[in-house]
Amino acid sequence: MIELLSYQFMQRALAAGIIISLVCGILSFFVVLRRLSFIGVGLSHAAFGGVALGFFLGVEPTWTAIGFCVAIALLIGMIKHKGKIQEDTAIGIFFAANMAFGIMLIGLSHRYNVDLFGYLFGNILAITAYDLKMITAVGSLVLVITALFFKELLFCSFDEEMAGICSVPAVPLNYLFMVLLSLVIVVSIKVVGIVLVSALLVIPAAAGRQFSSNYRAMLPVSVLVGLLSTLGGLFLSYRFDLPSGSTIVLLATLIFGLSFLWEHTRK
Amino acid sequence: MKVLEISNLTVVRGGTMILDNINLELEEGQSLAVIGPNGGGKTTLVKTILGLLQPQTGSIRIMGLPPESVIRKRPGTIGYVAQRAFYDPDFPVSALDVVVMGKYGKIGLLRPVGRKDREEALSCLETVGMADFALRPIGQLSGGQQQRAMIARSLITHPRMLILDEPTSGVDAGSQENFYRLLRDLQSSLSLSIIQVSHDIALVPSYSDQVACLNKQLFLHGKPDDVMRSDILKQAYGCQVEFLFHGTMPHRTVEEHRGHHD
Ligand SMILES: Nc1ncnc2c1ncn2[C@@H]1O[C@H](COP(=O)(O)OP(=O)(O)OP(=O)(O)O)[C@@H](O)[C@H]1O
Ligand SMILES: [Mg+2]
Repeated sequence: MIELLSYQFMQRALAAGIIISLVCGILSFFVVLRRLSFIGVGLSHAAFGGVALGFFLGVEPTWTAIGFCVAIALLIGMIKHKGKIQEDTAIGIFFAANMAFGIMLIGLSHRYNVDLFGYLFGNILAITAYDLKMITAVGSLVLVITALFFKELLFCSFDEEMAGICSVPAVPLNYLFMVLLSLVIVVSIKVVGIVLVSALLVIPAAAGRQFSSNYRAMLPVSVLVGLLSTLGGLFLSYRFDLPSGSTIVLLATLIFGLSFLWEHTRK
Repeated sequence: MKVLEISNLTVVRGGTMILDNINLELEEGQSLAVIGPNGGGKTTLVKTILGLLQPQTGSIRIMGLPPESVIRKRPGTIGYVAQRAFYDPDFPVSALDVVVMGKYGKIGLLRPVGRKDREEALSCLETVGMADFALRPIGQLSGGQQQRAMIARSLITHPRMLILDEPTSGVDAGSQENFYRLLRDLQSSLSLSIIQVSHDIALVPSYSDQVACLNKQLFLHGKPDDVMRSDILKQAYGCQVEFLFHGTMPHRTVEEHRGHHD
């Protein structure tokens, strides 16, 4: 086990896993409290459109994915803010549209890049030094911003209208939150893939909530669940040669199942 | 000083005119009861005052400023209790946490909640008789207890103006009258200005300096005298009809109604 850590790919996988689970654990806390469970699905598919755009234009897909995903996130936020429809409807509109856009572009580029598979399903054991740099940069940014605006983000998750009346800049914070989510989704794709990344933005906090009736407990539990599933998944996928993304997500689901049983047998 | 000046206010929602040429002024330290039938536009008026709805025409000034500016530049000036709160009942916060939230804007960005803020929140909960429930998750309180927590939250910033949209709905009768007394005490000790929307026409008008009847149009009355009060108490229904159904619903014409009061 210890000698595993001397491999550079393993060190990178471990570092990436820790940062991603920390950040996703915290964001999943807000996602679940805001009842925005499908935002991850919506934005990861926007990221797919962005990745395909990168392939099509022949530029680094991470950057096109960030640009595209942030744009869609702001659009979803704007539709909710200005229009009569709710976020989930806006997500529903963009979800399939972005997928269609991505598939169209990939069809047009006439070359099935093998890399695409890596984006769709991710591989924590194949994290490059460049990936890790991106993950670290985005991770630190998100941690700092959520720490700075934690109380405001909490109030907005509870009652956005009342937060606004109490002089909390609810609308800008809502956009900021959407941008943070997009950034985290794009850099997490390398770890668990477009198809599965949304799970990391829901399951940790869903489990955390089973265990706790106050956010002060729910937040660390959510982060812990994220850490357990990512690191456990990393180990299992290496040990038994399993696809890392699905191992992580299935382990998280298992932990959620246990938390659910624990909560319901306790009564 | 005038804390609130509304002139020629018209509000349209979903293509229908809900408020028609409203004019209203409130002096500092005065209280106003707003009564009127369901759908009369009371909540619409409150939301427009708070800048949540944009008027078609007319203007609103709170201490000389438009609503958005007051909220942005002077956090904590307005305390608000909504008619219905749309929060997740399972949200993992305690009653105390909810009350402290009322102060987040005043505490300001990048500043943490301090021990003093929590102590203030506790004393606000005490004011509404909820100190024993401070640490309960908000969703584990009864409807009336939650409503009291919301009232406590509206008080935590020591606002200059309180806007209460049916604050005592779901609050039991005994506590309602305590709450009206509390408001009157706050009003006189802090020269707080209060706008209270209520269906409690038996009591609220008697605790208020002015009564406004709102049914698309607004009619302002002075403090109801004792005769009116006993009238209301004796003949609640008859007076309700008289109080509420004027203006656009011609039960009596406005002139007759005014003549009756004068
Ligand atoms: N979102 C909306 N869109 C369109 N019309 C609305 C909307 N909300 C309320 N209305 C209409 O505006 C009118 C006034 O509603 P409002 O909620 O202000 O009444 P109210 O006096 O507060 O009634 P209540 O005593 O039931 O609380 C009603 O006719 C209502 O149908
Ligand atoms: Mg109303």
